[in-house]
Amino acid sequence: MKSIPETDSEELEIRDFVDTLKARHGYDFGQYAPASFKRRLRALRMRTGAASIAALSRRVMDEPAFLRQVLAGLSVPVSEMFRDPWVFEALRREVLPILASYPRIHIWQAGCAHGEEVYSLAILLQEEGLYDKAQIFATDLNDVALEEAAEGIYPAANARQFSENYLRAGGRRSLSHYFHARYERIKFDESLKRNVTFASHNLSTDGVFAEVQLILCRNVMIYFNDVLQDRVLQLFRDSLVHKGFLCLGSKETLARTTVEADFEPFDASARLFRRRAPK
Amino acid sequence: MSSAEAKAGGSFLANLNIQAKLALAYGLVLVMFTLTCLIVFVNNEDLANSRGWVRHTYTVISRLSELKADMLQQRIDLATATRDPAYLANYEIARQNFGRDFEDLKQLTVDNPSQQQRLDRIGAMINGWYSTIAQPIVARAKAGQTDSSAATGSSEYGYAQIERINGLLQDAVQEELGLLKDRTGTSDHDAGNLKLFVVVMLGLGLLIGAVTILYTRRQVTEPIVGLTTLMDRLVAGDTVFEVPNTRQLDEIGALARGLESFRNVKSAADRERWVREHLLDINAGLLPASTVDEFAEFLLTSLCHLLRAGYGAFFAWDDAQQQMFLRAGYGYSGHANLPQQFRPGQGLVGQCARDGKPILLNPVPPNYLRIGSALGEAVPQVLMIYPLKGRDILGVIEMAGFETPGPDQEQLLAELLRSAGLQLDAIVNAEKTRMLLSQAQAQTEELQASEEELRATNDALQDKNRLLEQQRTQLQESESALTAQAEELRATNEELEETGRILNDSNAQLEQTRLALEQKATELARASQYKSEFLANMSHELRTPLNSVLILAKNLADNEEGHLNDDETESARVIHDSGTHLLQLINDILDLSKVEAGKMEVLAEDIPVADILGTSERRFRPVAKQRGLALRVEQAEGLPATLRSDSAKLQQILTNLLSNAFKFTERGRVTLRLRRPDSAPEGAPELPPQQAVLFEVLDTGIGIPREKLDKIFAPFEQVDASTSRKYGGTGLGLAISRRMARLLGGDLQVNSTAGEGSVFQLYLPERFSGIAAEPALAAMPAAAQSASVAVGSQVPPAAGPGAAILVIEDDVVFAKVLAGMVQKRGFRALLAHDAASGLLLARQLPMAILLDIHLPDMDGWSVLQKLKSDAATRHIPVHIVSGVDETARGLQLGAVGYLVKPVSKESINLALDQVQRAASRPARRLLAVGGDQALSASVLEQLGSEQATLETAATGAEALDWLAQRSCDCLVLGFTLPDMSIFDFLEAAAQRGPLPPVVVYAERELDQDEVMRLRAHTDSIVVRGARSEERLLDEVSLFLHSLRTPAGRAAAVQTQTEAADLAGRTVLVVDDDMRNIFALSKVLRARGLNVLMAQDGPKALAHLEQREGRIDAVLMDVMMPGMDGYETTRRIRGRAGWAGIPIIAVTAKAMPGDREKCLEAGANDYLTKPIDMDKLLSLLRTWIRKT
Repeated sequence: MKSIPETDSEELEIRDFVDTLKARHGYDFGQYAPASFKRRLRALRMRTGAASIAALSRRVMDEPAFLRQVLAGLSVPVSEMFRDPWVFEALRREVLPILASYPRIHIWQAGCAHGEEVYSLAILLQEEGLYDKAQIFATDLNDVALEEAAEGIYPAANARQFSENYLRAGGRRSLSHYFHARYERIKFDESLKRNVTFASHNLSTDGVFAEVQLILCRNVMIYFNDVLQDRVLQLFRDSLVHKGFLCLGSKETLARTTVEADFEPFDASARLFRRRAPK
Repeated sequence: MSSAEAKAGGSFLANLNIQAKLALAYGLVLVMFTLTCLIVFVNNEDLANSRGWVRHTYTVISRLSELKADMLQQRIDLATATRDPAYLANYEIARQNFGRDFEDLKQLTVDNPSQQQRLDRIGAMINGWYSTIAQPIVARAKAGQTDSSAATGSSEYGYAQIERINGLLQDAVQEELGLLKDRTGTSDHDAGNLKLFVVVMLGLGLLIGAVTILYTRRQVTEPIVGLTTLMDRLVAGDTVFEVPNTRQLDEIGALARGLESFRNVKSAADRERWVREHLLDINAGLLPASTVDEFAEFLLTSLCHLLRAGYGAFFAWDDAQQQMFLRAGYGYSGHANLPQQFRPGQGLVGQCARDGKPILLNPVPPNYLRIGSALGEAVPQVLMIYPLKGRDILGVIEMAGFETPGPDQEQLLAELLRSAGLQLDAIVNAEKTRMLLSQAQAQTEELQASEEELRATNDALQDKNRLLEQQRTQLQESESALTAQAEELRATNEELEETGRILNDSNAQLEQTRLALEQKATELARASQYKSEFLANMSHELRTPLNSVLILAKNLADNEEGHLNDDETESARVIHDSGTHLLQLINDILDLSKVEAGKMEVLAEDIPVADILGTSERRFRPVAKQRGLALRVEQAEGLPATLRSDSAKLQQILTNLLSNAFKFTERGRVTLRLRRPDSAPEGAPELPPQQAVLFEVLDTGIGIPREKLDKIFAPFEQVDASTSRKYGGTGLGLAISRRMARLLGGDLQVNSTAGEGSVFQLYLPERFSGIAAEPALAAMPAAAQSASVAVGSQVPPAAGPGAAILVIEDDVVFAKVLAGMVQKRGFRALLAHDAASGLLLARQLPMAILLDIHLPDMDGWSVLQKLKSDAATRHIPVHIVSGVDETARGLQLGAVGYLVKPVSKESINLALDQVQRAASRPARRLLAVGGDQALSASVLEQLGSEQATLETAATGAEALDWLAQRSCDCLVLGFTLPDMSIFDFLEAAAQRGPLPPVVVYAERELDQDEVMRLRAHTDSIVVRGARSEERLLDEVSLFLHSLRTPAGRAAAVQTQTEAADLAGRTVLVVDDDMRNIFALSKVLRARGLNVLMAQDGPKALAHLEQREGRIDAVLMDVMMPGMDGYETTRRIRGRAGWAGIPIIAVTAKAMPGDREKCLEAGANDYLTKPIDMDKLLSLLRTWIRKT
């Protein structure tokens, strides 16, 4: 008689957890990349001290307030300012001059996590003299991360890295011009948020909410399976104006996706794609 | 010393130590005692003395008495002796006694001269007695004479003398008695004095004793008893008392001080213990706190309990913001309007944070703060603000209460604040560490996820590579296997070229002489026929070796000997498949050549109709089953039982049509129907419908786009390049079928709608008369008369008579290649080898021109310029094919494309596609208005030359005039028009009819309202800037490429009637997304609704305000910058009188919670994006009707 391997029962528990979360709160994690999702779930279990993933499911069922913790635990909010500086350099050099020709610039930062890229973008727009006519929608499904993003406070330990990136991204002054540093934290100027709307948006369930000229969604889709990636990319395509820009993470690509034909590569190293004009 | 003195010297006495005090008391008593003894002793001496004198007096008196007796005795004895001499001896004894007593008396009264004197007189008188009386008698008595008479006679023995002596003695006694009286008085006086003294001393002694006892009690006993009592209290644990006498310098003082310090030690120990206990308790409670908030909550609550404070607030220092924020409150919540944060130095809290020292306010000023409960409220007595420090300031605790903290509490506070500070510091640091850890974990997670993604991509790439590698290997194998065929083909090519050259020569002759034109045309036709014949023969020649290749490949693939591995058999199969395909191609070419060369023979015979249909059905039934499709065979009434035609060819055509139908149909059915045609077909106009039959093959497949319908009958044409990849086939089937149909005296037509299916119609005469209807040669195009040569007549043009493409190319061979390709597309080819003839031919307005730059008489640039400067030829798309790479110059001069030699067949086809597309567009007109300042000349030129003819109007009025007369395909507007505002212009233009697509080119940034007003007419607004011209071109070409159809409007018109009930109602659309707002408003307006638009919450409120809430419904986008939809809804609901306005929330979010959130905010209903218009309308109807 063969015993059921450990992993199998875990798989079952994970499936049950996903179902519970979906049924109870409407969050669908069914299409997240399984390996990564499993790791996140294990980490969440450790953090909350739950005995098993099944116990997590029960808590999701019984404690509505637990959801926040779950969402915060399941998403991976990691980023830095001007991450991959060449991307921001390319945005500054190639994309913003084109966006400048729109009377109003709408930018969607999908999966904004703790908001590092939002502030990077705001600084970029500010320095290019475009911020006053720009509107950034910074969305994430993780409310906790959104709140932190809206605060704009980061450990000062990161400031050096941020500054280096900023300069490599073609920054015109010093990054410290935009934040106040005290002891262990830095806080970005309130004025950088004046045209940012932080909002909760779930890429796996929610729809188009605005017409935008630029979408940044970097290192988000690596956590999704192919089906969800296709959905999200279609969402992006439908949100973009024709000839609008899509910026993906360094490991992400449009190859093998359903929207491959709807975009043309714009800057391969920066993973910038441009929506083709409709045929 | 008296007690009064003792009291007066109290401080002095008090400060004396007890030993001194006792010595003093006892000394005093001793001195008293000694003094008394001495005095008594002295008095006693005096008394004894005076008593001695009394005794002395008594002695004297008694001696005097004895003397008197002695004297009397002597006289008696003397008298006796005179009568008897025997008594003489007695006299003698009495005389001696007298003498002795006299002498004694003399001795005794030596101190008294009066007595001495008296005694002396007595002595003398005695002596006289002796001598005168006694002596003579004694002597007679001795002589024995007893003569009593004689003696008696002498005066009775001297009596007188004796009496005088007695008198004297009496005097002496009298004196002595006087003396005695004096002396007894003195003695009595002395004794009385002594008695008095003793009594006085006794009283004094008693007094001193009493005072000493009293004093000792007061000064020693009572304090000691007092201290003992205190000691007992101390032992019992009471430390709250004042120790007396501590300032005294004596032992009591020392004792009191000792007790006091003992008490202090004890109370310190008690306090210590109390502090420790509480400290331990609170610290134990703080220990589990892992966040600042938990920590603050517990610490504050504990402190408030401890200090009995009624109000407390904990402010934690935030390093990043350099402020303190309220983290916990105790009785604080009631004061919602109290500040939640403090900067250093701001207020007392800030001051405390800056100084790092506690602040105590006592008493608290009235109106400073009140502590309240359900039963009442009062001003606290004391306000305490304490800092919490680690290395730096970490927080401040403010408390207010009714009691000032005692020393214990103070100490506890001091210790607690110190230890709590350290702990808070640790928590803050731990939080930081935790954050760093989670950051690190998140990074790891992201890294892993991206690695996995990368791995997946890599795997996919590797798979793809592997596949490619496989294909490459297969290709190589088939390549080598087909080398022989390739060689033969090459030879064929050479011959073809040779033939071409010959043809060219004959064409040259034609060119020279008009008279010989006809003849040359015939020759040409014959040459063409030769070519076809050659092809037909050649195909036969090709089939033979191919057959053996196929057979051998099949053998290999079957691998009966089993010595080939899987890869090798697979390769062999590929060779076989490729060979089969080639064979099919050759067969088709052969058929085509046969038809074209007029070599195809028609074998007319009577064929039963049932056989024709039955054969087809039998052949395709299995196919239908395999593909899961339905196959229907229908036959109309009133048809003859037999047809006269070529059975094999008819069957071939039908098979071709049916297999196509199955190939392009994924689901649904394929129908083969036989009926009478309604009219004569295009290709056989003289065929009377009543004598003809019509085979129709209907499918429900992908269909054919309208513009491709004509081309599918051209050889090698398929609907698009991808078709062959997906569906296979040679692309010759339909061309052959049509030609065969025409050979059989009928025609083949097609009708199709893309996406819905196609109908192929085969018209055939009922009785084939035996005459081939298809002419072998097309008529010579008249256009070729003037100069150049029209070569491509072997393929009859499928397009209209004007559909020619002019090739201007000096390389004759390449020109022919190009011409061939042009013809394959079903166009006529016009050839010119120099610029002059090219320009001449261009006058015939070909559909498009392929132009070489290197030409013998004039360069291509000049030709292009001439073409573009001539209004007649300006619209003809020109594609440059040249060895010179000057793409930019070419495009600038207005070429639609530029191809650099050497070129491939594919690139030429793409170029042809491009010119074809450019030409197939109706002439586009672009009107630029008032753009002089904004639009640079070069942009205008680019706009015009590339895709459309450009017209310009300087002013709005001019443009309106222009639009009144003509239509245009795209309007480019400068934002600032010289004579009117752009909004007026757009309104005016829109009144005249539907606006063409509008692109606004703004020379400055536009504000929100301007954008909004423009967006009512166009989505394309370009603001001038570095890259704006590029975008302007993008926008314009977008319109020129795809004329947008306002689908929403069209759809709206259809349903207008059913929405009549909404007409006249007013709806406010609130959305920040322009696209939505205008799409919605268009649809709603089309239904007769008045639509107000607001881009954000405040504007929406302003609209409501302006119309005093008279709006029938509000469509509210939830996600807007600034004030979001929830907030706006809440504000609307917050206004009196606006509560009844129906609000329909519109959101992109699809979570179950979002609906509740919308309704909670006050929305009546909820719609998700993308908006389903029917649902929206039904919601509007529901809610508007309700009101």
